[in-house]
Amino acid sequence: MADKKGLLVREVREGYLFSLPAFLLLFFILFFPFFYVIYISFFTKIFGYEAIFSGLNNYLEILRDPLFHYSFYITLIYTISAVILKLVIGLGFAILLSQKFKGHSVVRAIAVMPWGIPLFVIAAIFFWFFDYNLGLANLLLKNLFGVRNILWLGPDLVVLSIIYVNVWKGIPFFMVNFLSALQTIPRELYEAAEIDGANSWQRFIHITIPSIKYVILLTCLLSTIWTFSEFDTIFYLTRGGPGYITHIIPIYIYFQAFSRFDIGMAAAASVLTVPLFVTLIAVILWLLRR
Amino acid sequence: MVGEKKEERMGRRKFIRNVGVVGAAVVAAAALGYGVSELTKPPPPKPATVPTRPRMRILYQSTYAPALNDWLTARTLEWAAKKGVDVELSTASYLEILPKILTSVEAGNPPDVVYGAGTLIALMAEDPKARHIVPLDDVYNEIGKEDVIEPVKKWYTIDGHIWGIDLFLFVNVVHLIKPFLYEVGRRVEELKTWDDYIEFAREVKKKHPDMYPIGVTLGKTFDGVETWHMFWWPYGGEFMTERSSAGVKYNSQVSRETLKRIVDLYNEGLISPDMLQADEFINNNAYLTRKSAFIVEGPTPYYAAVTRNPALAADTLLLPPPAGPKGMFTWGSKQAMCIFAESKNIDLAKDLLVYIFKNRDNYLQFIKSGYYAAYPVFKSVKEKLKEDPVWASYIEIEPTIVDYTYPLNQPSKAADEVVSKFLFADAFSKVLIEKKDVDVAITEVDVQIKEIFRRIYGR
Amino acid sequence: MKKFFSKEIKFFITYILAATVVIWTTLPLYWMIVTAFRPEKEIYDGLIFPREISISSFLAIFGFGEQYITVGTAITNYLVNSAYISIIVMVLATLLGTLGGYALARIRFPAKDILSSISLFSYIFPVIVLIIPIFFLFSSWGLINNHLGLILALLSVTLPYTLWMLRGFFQTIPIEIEEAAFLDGCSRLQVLFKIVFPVATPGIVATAVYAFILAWSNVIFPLILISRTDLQVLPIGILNYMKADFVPWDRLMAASFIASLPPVLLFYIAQKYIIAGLTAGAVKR
Repeated sequence: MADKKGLLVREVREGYLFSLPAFLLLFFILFFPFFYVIYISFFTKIFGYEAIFSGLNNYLEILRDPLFHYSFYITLIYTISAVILKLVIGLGFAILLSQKFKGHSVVRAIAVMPWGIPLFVIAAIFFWFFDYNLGLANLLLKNLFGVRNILWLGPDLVVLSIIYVNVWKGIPFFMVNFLSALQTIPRELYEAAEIDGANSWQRFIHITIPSIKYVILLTCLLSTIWTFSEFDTIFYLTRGGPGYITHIIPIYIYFQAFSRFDIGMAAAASVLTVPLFVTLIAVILWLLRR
Repeated sequence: MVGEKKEERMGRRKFIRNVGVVGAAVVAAAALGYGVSELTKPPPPKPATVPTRPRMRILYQSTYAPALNDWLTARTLEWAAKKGVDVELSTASYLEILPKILTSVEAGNPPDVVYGAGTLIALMAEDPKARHIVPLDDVYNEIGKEDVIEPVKKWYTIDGHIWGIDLFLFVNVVHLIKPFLYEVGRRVEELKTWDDYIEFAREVKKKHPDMYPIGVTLGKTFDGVETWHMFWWPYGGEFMTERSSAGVKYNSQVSRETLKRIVDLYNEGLISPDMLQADEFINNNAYLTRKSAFIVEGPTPYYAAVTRNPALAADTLLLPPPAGPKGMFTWGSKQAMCIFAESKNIDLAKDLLVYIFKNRDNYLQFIKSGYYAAYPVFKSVKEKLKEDPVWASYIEIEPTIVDYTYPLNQPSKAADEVVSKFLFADAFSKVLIEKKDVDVAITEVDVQIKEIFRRIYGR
Repeated sequence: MKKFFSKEIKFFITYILAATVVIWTTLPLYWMIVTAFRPEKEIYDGLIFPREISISSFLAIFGFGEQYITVGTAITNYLVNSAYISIIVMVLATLLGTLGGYALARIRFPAKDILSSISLFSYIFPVIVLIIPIFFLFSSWGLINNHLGLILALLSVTLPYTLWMLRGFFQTIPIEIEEAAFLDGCSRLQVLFKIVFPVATPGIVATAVYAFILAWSNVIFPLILISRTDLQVLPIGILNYMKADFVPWDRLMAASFIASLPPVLLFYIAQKYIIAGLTAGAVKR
């Protein structure tokens, strides 16, 4: 008996020992900064000036700032549109590739590529791809369809363009998740439904979707989280422009700190994103429970 | 799957306990955070132990003409070798250099010598209580103060001392693509004022309906700010008359007319929609791909043409900027060098600056290596350059170079901040993207400008 | 008759769609490769297909044939920095993640559940919230403009990932193997490295590879923590090509091509296990 207790104690000690390095590090580079940003958000701190305690001032100012409202709005639009598109197109790709036609593994290998390419590289490529005078997008339109140059990164289309880039990069994640999920649906279900007279579309709605519902929601959840905090694409392609059109929240925070040099405001904005973020997740989790 | 219900209940209890633990941790860490941040303020500078070799940290902006950077680097390393100094050289692009300098000042350890970020000197030196750079009067005397062109001396003079010196200037000139001129049967002599150039643009547009002849950037960039001023000054635009928010004269009839003029040109199809992009290379691209008939820019596009597209360079004419009823004005992009007060090697740094500037022949080579992109800061060098016909066509625009604090023409921290935040270019987006009224746009920008002035000057 | 007809059409449509997928994916990549392998002058001619193949841009970005010595126009320096920093981050994240993940998966100790929750929480935490405080704290701690600071900051995105993934992987290792080893008298550490490790190697390797990719691709931390050019990494090097008065498109694409090679190659090699790890949580329950 004493031996067993000794083992238990030893195990507990091992548990802490093994996990200590990782969590200690996480404390310093993740949790402590998180608490610190909450702390700074109650101060007025501009670069080059002293920090002055100002209570909830920063929060009030941000909540009053029309640019912040717009940032929140455009972030929502960007995130929701991108995730829905990735969902639909990713599902489409997955269904296509689950038909084991000849060469399907080659197509799959190609389709997965965007996942492995770093986001900043993709942003650079599309920066060139969408170039007004010399980019491939316009060259193709001009040569194949005789269409005049389209201003992809201009005020009218820039939001669509950035959504396109995010979708292009993110589809493989959805596609691969759905592919694995689709494999788990037993064929008999489909065959039985076909015998009962259901056509393709009905089979899709009543068998496919419900079977992978869990995967769909989880994938959407993760993607929403990642898209919401995405900084690289917009920073490389538009820096929040033209004007303020693509000024999503991560960009808002960055520019508050490094262009307006108002650290207190940037901190408050950072802290405010957490509840926004948590709400978004809660909504999706709620959908998941249903 | 079995026992999941029990797990759920356990899970809920654990969850509440977790929240409690996290909450306590938040409070504890917040207190810890405060303590730590107090304790870890930057340590006071250590007293100088006897150094065998002095170390200097130098930050240079990367110009658009690598040859110029190369010359500067070579000179610096040469000097370092002669003086037995260890030099830590880094470069930053024009976009990052200002934030980087400011953050290093904030952290208490700016570089010894900086080149770049013209909108820096006033920010660093205007306020006597927060002066981070040292006066360079002795440097000026060493290298020959009278030979330095007037604008440079004027816009760095605060309290009777001169706080910076430009390595060179990027002055805005017209890059005119000659074939377009000849096509519509015009002659260079006819192009003097904005009205002339606009008329010319209209004629080009008639011949090439899908071209956008006027290449001027409207995005939130330095180029956008320059565009504003190139249209504004010649028609009487004035920015500030004194260092206070009351002295800000932006909200004027001239401003409204200027904004309207530019908006009308855009709506007329003379300015390309992609000029609203927040990138500095947009109008350069328009020139390099011959999608515009002329652009107004410091001659870095010309430099690109000479080095990469000689055919285009041969087709280009560099001309003084378009004038207006109030005369000709040029934007001279400052390329300031300064020395930080926190430096431990101030005398050495001054010596470096003297070394860079003193030898005029060397400086002449420097200017020449930039293929007309760099405008010299010495009158004597100007004279020598006149022999070159390309230089001759615009070298005499020196008297038209004004500071953006015009008509005050003295350094101003607030003005520097306004420029580096591209507020003037915001007006373009407000009208052309957000579809606001010209009046509203000007007023809104004015409010932002005055807020900055009030914060800095207190009135 | 009807069935026969629709099968043909279905076949046809499938291939059309497959072709669409391929074109959709490869079009931008084609553009990158074509531009990178073109001589500079051709860029401004606006042609879709290359007339001439040339590797001048690749030579240029590595500093060959360039008259200019200024640091920052060549990417060699950035590339080296990126490589060695990413490797260090990968090793550290994997090491700490292995220890911690194993503990969370197998060792029974009181804090296990809380720490697991914390681990998940860190994984999905939006990094954007951290950039301000990390910048500030690192300023006070002297971690600005040095690689140690950058490595630590990068760990804030990679460590949560490795922790969570490795915890998942270790949970799938049959516990019997370990129990057998314990009965034989092995210490916990021995069990981990001699028994579990070999079996979990594919998972660990895949996690390490993805951690490398995360570190390599990170933009925000180098952007705010590093200002010295000699210390800077590849993403910012490429950004510098893009944000200038003159954009050298051929070099930008050549640099992009180089920048994408390590992650893409590593990703393809370890693909199977990376995807298994990332989708395991989604598919199984």
